[in-house]
Amino acid sequence: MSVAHPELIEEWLLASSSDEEPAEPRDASQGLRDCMESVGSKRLRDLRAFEGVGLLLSSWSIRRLFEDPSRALELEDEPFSWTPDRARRQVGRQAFQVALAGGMPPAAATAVVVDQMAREAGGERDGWSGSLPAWLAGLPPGARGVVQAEACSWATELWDLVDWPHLQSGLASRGWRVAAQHGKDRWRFRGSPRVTMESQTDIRVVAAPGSAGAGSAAARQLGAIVLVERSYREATAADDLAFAALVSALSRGKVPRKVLGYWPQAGVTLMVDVNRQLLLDAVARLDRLLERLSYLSCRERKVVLRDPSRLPSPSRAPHPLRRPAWRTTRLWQPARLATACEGSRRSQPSAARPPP
Amino acid sequence: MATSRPISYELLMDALRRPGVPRPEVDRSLAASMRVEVEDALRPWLERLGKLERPGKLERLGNGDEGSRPRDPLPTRGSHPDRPIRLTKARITQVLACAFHARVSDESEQSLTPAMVRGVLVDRIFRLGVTAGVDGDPVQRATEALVAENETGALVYLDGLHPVARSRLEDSVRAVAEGLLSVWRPLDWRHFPRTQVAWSLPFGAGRVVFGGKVDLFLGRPHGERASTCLVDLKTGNASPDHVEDMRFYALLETLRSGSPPFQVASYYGDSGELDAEQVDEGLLRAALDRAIEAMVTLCRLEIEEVPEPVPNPECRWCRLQPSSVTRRQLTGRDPAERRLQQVVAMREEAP
Repeated sequence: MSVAHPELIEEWLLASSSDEEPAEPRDASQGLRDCMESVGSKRLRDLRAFEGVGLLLSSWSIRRLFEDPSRALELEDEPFSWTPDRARRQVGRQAFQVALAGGMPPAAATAVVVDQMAREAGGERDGWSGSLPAWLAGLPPGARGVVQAEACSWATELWDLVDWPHLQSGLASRGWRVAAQHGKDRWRFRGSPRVTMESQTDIRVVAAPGSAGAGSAAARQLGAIVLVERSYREATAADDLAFAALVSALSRGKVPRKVLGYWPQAGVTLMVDVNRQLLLDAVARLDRLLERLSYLSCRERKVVLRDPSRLPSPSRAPHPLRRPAWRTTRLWQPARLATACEGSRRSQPSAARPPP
Repeated sequence: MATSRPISYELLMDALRRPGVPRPEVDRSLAASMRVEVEDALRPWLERLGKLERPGKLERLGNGDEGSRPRDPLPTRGSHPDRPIRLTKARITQVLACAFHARVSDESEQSLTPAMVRGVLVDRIFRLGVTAGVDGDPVQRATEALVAENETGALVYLDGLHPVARSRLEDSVRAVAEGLLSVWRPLDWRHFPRTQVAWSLPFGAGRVVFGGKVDLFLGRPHGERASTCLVDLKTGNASPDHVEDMRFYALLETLRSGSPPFQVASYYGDSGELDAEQVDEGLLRAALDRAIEAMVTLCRLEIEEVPEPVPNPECRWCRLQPSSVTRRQLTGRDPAERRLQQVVAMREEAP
């Protein structure tokens, strides 16, 4: 499996800007939110172990939690701090945007972005808020040079994927455009604000503001989202993309039509058409995970009753819990979930029953 | 064909981009057929690798009674997508030289040496030099880069050096940097330069990963003709292994993008020489055969008994090397038998 040919990808992305009525109804994202809230209300009430700790569900953490749910109770030893490796994606996205808008190579755009970010660290420039510009501004020249080098490599790898200027002009003729995303997609459960779903989308194909297409039924959806990921795992790659589509729909209120995953190090591109079943499967997978975690949480409370010193707290090292022996793992029933998504509030006794 | 000569910036760019020289056409089926060859070679081993037990959760966490359990100096490791067999240029060289050495060195941690720290610093200077340029003291800039990257290993090593030794090391780096930066300036953006480009290509559902990282990547991989050039910076003396390393990188890029580079090159920071080689199908096939041979040997190492050691220059870095054995003894003809006996004796004595 090598990287798909750029022309193939371009054609596929162009198709995301079709004027056809979207397959999903206009309130699909609201249905998904209701569906997730329904899942959350069932599962999250048991997650007391996370009170005061918070639970972040990203595609990476979900993969890790499926492998070893007890890790959910582990706490980060150190607070977040920027490194060139962590900054490459943020700076690289901005560089990509500048390169696309200004018709310059990504390397030149990266130099411009790093320089401007550092100079305007204290300013109010939209989209560059946060700690990254301030961190960049405080870096010595050698460190800033490494950030530039990292971001340049990232942006150039993305630039190689497709002939972006050609795609942009093709989309523009239909009233759509390519946009680099600022920040992450995040969504929180209403009843459990400490549980957050998070996904990193890099590029979006969206209806251009003010264009004829912007008000159309099709534009109520996102055209496509593109994710540039690092470590490729064949077994979970499609699930990761489905999760990204779900979080994008939940957080932005628009369901993407297509998701493109690009793993440049592995030379893999994965193109997924988003449909209802894909999103329901993503919800079901989350439900399975939360079910496991809630079981773990119940089990943890019993342990704590015997030994209160094992209560997880921010000041303590990672909890020494070991993986419990799961006796049963019930599979989610998509039909039931679909009913929930359509707004039905009927009770689901068997699904709500905690695992033995 | 390899060419080696000290060069200037203009000559360097000409040597790397070869303007006017027709580039070979890209055969899109080549990468696909090579991937099939790797998968075919791996298939007989996958089932056997899958049967190996991974260390359990309790074992990985430590269950508190490690002290009472004798530690196997050469434990069976198994292969799993979480912990794949990783094939890199260094592993290929090791395993083809002496499978025993490869098995042993895999379990031991390599400690930093002055030459390695020097290489790390020169590497950062090169990266800064081709991207943003280096103003001021290059060692200072490289150290700033290491601090930002949290490269604690090299930083701790530098901090732990005696001031005289540190000064000597930094002077040595400055001497290399002076020549390096006179040739490598911020590269023309139209060449799409990128640095530290990594590959991580999974095979056998992720049980084996071909990996590597090249210092400089020029050009764009798509198009009807091969148009990329890979450059690796080397500190120290030239070695035949470096040529094989670059051929392996050419293979990795071909498998990744489907489009082979038209040229690979090693740049020697100390001598200022560029060793460039044109890439063709024969070169890629040779690199593929070598990689498959190494991969199969590594798979065999996972499953079968530890092989007998083969005396060779790699013995200098072997964990079981007795300190009393000199390099001549290790690499010479006559003492080889003695070396074998020593290693075997050490293995028997190992706890």
